[in-house]
Amino acid sequence: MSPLLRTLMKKEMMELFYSTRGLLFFLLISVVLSAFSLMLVTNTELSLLDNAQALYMMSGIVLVLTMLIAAVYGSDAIAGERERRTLSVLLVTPLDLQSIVRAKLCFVLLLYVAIYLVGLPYFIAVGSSGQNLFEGLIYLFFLGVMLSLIFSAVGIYVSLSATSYKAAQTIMLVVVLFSASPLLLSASLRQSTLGRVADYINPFADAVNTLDAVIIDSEPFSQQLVRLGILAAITLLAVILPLYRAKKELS
Amino acid sequence: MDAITIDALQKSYGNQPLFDALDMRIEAGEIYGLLGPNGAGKSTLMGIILGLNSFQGGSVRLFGLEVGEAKKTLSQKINALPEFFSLYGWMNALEYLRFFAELYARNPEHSALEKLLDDVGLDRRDRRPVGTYSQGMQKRLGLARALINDPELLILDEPTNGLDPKGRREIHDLLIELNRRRHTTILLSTHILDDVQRLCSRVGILHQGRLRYEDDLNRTVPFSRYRFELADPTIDPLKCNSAHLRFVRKTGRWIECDIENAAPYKAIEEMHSNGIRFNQAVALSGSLEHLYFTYTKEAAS
Repeated sequence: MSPLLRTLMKKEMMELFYSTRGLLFFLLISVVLSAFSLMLVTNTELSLLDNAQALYMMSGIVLVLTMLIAAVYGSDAIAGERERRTLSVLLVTPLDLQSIVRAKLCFVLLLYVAIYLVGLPYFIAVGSSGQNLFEGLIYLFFLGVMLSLIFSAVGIYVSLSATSYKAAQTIMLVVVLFSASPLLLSASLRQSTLGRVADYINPFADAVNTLDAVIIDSEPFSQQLVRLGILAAITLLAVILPLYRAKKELS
Repeated sequence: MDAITIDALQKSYGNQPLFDALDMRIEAGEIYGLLGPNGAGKSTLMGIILGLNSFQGGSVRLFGLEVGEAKKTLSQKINALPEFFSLYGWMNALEYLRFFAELYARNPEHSALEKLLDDVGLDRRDRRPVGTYSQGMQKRLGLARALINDPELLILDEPTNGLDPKGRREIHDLLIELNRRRHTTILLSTHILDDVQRLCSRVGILHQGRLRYEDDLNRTVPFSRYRFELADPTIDPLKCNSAHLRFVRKTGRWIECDIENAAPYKAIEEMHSNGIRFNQAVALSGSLEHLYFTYTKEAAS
């Protein structure tokens, strides 16, 4: 990693820990996971779930939070810096816009690792006596990496083009809602051809379905290749988008 | 050698042209004052010079290198203070300067950063987050940041805006010292004509996409008008006249004189040697203002 990227990432990390926004992210994650864990014990219906199902549900929650945080952070990345009038000063230095985008993407990855580590004790507590805990944790890690990259990269792309931070954030919230929409569809609708296609091209649905297949159905890696391949392709495309846009960008 | 060479620059926003074949040259080592009304394109021009704004035609070179093609090399040679900027409010002044020093791949001694804070008139022991700084203090820190890479070319957009008179004087002294000691080229855009008159060796007036006027400041404004409060009001004001000073009028205890910009201190010495003592002096600097209005009005009409 170049010293410039390292310096910029260090700044992002310090900013996160000094700001209430960053601390709120982590507080939100631990509150949500604690509440869900408590419900698993106290709620009659949830307490009937086996450990694998509980682990799957908790992984889904972490992926939703990851998607949300990556989208919010991504939409702030450039539009926020521009609005706070800190971007022009950065661009006078040897940094170019593409380096800033790279640093922001790397930082989102670090952020996801932190989220994953916060969630780890909860996963172990919930799924330790069930099946596929280890596989589930490995898959969750890599799926989270891909989702955080996709949603932050799309957020940064929107942020590069948006007229304001608010506009970028609104667009990204719609993208997140749209991505999470399969959760709201009925099972029969999801089984239709349209539903299946939508499931395949929706990265969030791909991630959740992969977790379902691995944790609950104990499917082997070979059966996940199509979904993982699509997810990897979307990740690559999503990351290239803002990098390309940043290279072209001049007001 | 030219620090900035702009040839036939063209820039427009949609169908609205901003610069139409703009030519401009700024020699290395000079302090150039860029004047122009709001919307004349001064900040846009600075953005183009810094490689932050695009343009449709012409060429912009810094130290002979094409802007946009030598970003890495040029960014080490130049720095800027935009008119509007924000600091990372959670950092303290030293952290802020260190962050930018690292972006320039420099690892300055703690004492060097403290010296920079001293130079811009900030307290080196102040460890408050810079978000709590006043506008003037933020401007000073911004200037310290602009000096972090010892730039050969410094681009300043309204650098003394928001500063008190003492702060303005300190920044003037710092910029003059920088220019004298390190031969730093300074491009200064401001609406404060007194800043231009005190600092700049050359001035350009930008209006309606073109440089309407450009010349050495001493030729442009050979004299500046000052008002002096005489210690002895009965003295014959014509005694003021000398090689570098011309008496204009007397009103009560006050006299107005034009002082040659090239030799202001000599003019004061001559007043003293002619037995003229004064309690206070006020710079009126009407000449540059007159020139400014002439060229911006002419162009508009």
